[in-house]
Amino acid sequence: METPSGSPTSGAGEDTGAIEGTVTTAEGQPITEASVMVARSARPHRDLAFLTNAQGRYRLGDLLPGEYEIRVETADRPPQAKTVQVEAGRVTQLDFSLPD
Amino acid sequence: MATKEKKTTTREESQEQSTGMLSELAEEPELEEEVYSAEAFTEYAERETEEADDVEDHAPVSSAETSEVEETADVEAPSVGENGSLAKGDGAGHEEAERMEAEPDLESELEILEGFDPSILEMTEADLMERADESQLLDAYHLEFGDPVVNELLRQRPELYRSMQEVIIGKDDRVRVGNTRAYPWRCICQLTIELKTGQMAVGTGWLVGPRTVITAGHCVYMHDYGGWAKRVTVRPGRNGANASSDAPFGSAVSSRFHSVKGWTQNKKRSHDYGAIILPKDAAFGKSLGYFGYANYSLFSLLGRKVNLSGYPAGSNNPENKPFGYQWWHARVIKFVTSRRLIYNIDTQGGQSGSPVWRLISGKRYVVGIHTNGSTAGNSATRIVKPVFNNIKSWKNMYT
Repeated sequence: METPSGSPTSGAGEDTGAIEGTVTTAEGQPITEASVMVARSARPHRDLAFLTNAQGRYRLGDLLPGEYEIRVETADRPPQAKTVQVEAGRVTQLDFSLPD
Repeated sequence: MATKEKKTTTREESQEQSTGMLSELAEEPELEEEVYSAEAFTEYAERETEEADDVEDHAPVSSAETSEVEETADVEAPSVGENGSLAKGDGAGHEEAERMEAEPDLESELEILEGFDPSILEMTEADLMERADESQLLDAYHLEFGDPVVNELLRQRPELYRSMQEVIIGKDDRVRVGNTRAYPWRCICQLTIELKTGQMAVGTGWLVGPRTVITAGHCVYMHDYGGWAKRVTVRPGRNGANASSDAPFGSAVSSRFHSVKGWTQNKKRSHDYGAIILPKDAAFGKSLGYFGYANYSLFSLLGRKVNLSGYPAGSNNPENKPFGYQWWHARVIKFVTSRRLIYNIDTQGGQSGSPVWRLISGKRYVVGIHTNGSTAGNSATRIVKPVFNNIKSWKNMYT
């Protein structure tokens, strides 16, 4: 499980937190338009999926504190999921490296 | 047990009906073992109390100037559109689409799609628990609803605690919609949302009128992403990973959105709904048709079978395409609060905004707008009277 390590104030609300990071290939190249979403959590969350940008970056904001399983899917690589803890007022860094 | 069903039921009347039902349950044995701590319920009860309904919160807001609202009815009928199987391309699949649009079984409450096992709806709690992965069972500490009526019902009906645990557990029973050219599937739209921060997201919406697509409030307004979306691309009946060739009716881009103050200003989950207005030259609803909708009473919702279909980003497609396919599921509404519907329908990121509808005598009436996922119970913004009124207004403004 990933633990929060980001800034306490960068983009998270007073009673919510955020998860942000980068999705890359195993060689470190950014993957664009990868789908990033909350796959599982006991906390109510928006059923949206976000797409990584040209730099492979994504951000899931406005998350209630708690445990989240974050899943990344692309068109041509096996999906990957990681579990992370979100804290109020903090941004958790969570990166993915997707092999071929 | 229940009073006679009414079509126009206010929240006060629903409360009275619920109270009447509860008084008849007073003889039920009390719960012997507490499953949820008082502290846990207190947290969510407090949250619901803080989110006490405020008429002002349903005040409509828009990204542009709007006209006045007309008075509305409580049930709006659906439309199958001017041309049943209209689709771009060489016409392939039209015969299949027409077959799918043949007169439906008027007795069925569920859409008929190959691959769905309706017996799951008849499973007992024991059956579902057996199917469940024990590691995924969670107690209801994390349930967001603290409706006093529901809490009292749970106290007097302890067996319902187990129902709450079984919500959303188990295998994914979703069925892919093979032919999205058919009604009502073509009225469900895949949304690609461009936010002012530059980030992109995907969601779902559904046609409610010629130019009006209803969706979750957070699909058109996101507080932590610059507010109103910059633009949304709407693809009705999308059916594949290719945004162009797999959009059988084309696409439209909109920057005209509606929502309510309760969402945009107060960020209340109970007010998480909104609309996307299509350009005049992209009035998809005229040809494709649109859903009906209704503000049914508690007794017309609780325990009823409902359908949900949308565009998850994770498709479970064996080709592992990220999104673009429509998936349908059906279940029973497990809980109803004054503003939300809770059900154990499997959903996934990308399905925010999906319609939750009842199929009655062959017609589709949306009763909720799917907004939230949670292993403790997925939920929708319930269409209650002010929600109904706003949807009707947004529909009628743009014809």
